This record gives sequence, structure tokens and C-alpha cells, in this order.
Amino acid sequence: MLRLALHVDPRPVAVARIGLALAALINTLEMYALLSGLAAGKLAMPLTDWVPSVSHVAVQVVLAVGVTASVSILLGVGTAAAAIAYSLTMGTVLLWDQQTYSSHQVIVVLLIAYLAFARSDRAYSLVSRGRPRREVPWWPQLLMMTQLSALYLFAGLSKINHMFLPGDALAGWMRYPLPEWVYQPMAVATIVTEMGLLAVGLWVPRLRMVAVVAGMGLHLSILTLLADSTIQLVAFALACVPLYPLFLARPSLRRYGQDDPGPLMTGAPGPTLS
Amino acid sequence: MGVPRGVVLGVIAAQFCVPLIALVASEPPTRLGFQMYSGLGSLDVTVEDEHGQDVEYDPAEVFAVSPRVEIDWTRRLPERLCAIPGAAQVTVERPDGLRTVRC
Repeated sequence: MLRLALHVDPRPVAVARIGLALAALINTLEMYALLSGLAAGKLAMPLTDWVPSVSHVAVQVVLAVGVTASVSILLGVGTAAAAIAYSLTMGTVLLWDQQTYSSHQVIVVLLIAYLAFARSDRAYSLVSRGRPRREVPWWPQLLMMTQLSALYLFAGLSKINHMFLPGDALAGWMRYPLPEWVYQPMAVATIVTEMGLLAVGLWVPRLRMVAVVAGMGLHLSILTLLADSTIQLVAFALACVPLYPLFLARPSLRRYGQDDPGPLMTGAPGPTLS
Repeated sequence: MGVPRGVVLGVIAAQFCVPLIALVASEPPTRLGFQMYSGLGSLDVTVEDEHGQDVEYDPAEVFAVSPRVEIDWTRRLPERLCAIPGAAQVTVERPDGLRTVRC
């Protein structure tokens, strides 16, 4: 039985908040550039014909909401409202035109939606300065972790195909040419890392430090080796890696005995940490 | 705030079921499947003049972003590319469809 009523240390989710805010800021600017192109007359691909076309005024509104919400989340001021505003606005934009869709945009929208309930401003924020640190509900963090696991799992699963496994696809994406024999082992290592170490290993106490190092290595290699979309991939890394502390600090999923209340958690809402 | 156990478990189920359905129910890559950099999917676009010669064009003037392969570009792209000076025939080909338009 999952222990959804747990309350835990706010610092790991505050780290996640900061990373997600930076990712949201980058994604907002990326979306602004894309929507500006559509408003300027580039080919629109609406989901259905009755969706209103993209206008310059609407693009400015999206930019204003996205930047304001991202900065608010980053500073931890009005975090819940900002997170809801960002998720609703960018979620709508994702339905506006088919070209706005991308996995790194979707994952940030989803994670920030969960963040709205996480009380992540109780650490490392303007509103928490000078106040005693209070615990936060764990269930939003659980949703953030399972969402990240789903992302890594299906990213790995979808790579098990005739194009990726032999390394042919990887070879075409490289910033610098590497020896031909490197690509197939690199492809296999990518799949093993995503599906084994990140989707599963982050949940296993004995494996999670190895998984964290592997995950950081994966994202660093993505940034350094892939030739295109570097800014978007920076946002993707900022959305994923700062969530690793949630796995490192998570309470046990099992019920603890009376003598072992588990790390940094209580069953009561919002007590003050000593 | 109470813990919405049913909602939490439902969201977790959706987190895994939606990408699973996206993966198995249609040819990848698909939306909502987190199928990043899978190497699957392709888009071939040919713009020819009346003599069958390729017509050069700048994709950055047509697409708002690098074209994603899961989008059905056969729907609107040919008509748009027909506006390129000298274009007489446009062919857009995806793994699940091909459309040729005489301009």
C-alpha cells in the first residue's frame, strides 16, 4: 500500500522546482519563436480546421504568462498559481498547432502541473526565507517521479527498433564524427541506461547512486554529442536531472514499524522540521 | 489538504498507459509516446518544375520549426509549396502515405 499521506523534507522538491522553472523559461522562449513564425505566415498545422489561427497578440500573451510564471516558480513566489497558469497556458499552446508538440515541452507541462500541489516554495524560495522549514506532502513528488520513470521507460522502449539499435540513427545526429564501431554499443548503452538504470534503477536504493551518475552522464552526452536542438536539450536536462534528488531522498514505499518511522517524514501534515 | 488516493493512482496509471497505447496502437513515432530520438519515421518532400527538375527552396521560410515526422504533412504542405516560384509538382511522402499535387 502506497503511503500517500506522508510529509517529507521540502529541499529535494525545491531543487526540482528551480530546475523546472529554468526549463520552463527556455521552453517559453522556444515556443515564442515558434508561434511568432506561425503568426508571421509560416505554414500552420492546426489539429483541426476550427482552431483559431495564431495571432501576434496571442503570442505576446503566451510570452508574458510563460515568462512571469517561470520566474515566479524560480523565485518561489506564488508558486502554485504560477504553476497552474504555466501548465494551462502551455497545455493549450500544445493543442494549438501540431508543430508546438514535443516531448520536452510536454514533460515540463506535466511536471509543473504536479509541482502546483507540492508546496515546493517551503525551501530555497523568497517566501521561505527566515521561516522555519516545514515539511511538504509527498504524493506530488511521487507523481513527478513516476512521470519521469514513464518518460525514460518509453524513450528506451521506442529505441528498440531497426533504425536505432544498429547505431545508424545515432551516426546521423552526431556533432562530431566518431569511429563507426562506436555507434552500436552507444545505442545499446543508451537503451540500457534509459530503461534499466533510470526507469527502474532510480527506485532501487542499491542502484540509485549509479543511476544518478548514469543519468547525468546520459544528459551530458546528449548535450555534447548531438548536433541539433542544443537549447531544447538543455531544457530537457533541466527538467529531468533536478528531479533525481526526489529519488535519493524518497521515503520507503513500505510501511515502517513504530521503531522506524522512516527518513525525514511524518504522517501529520506540515510539521516543522527540527 | 487530503490525499486524493484514487486520483494519484489514476494519474500514475495514465502516465504509463497513454505512452503504451501510443507505442503499440499505431506506427511510431506518435504523439504522447515519449518516443524521443527513436530514429523512426521519415518525411520526403520533392518540389519539381515543369521539366521535372528539382526546385530549391528554403525550409526555414516554410516551416515554423524543423518538421516533425509524426505530423501528416500531406494535408497542407503540398499546396503551400506550390506557391514557390517555378514549382509545377509537389510530392510529400511519409511512411503511411504519399500525396502528389500538380500546381
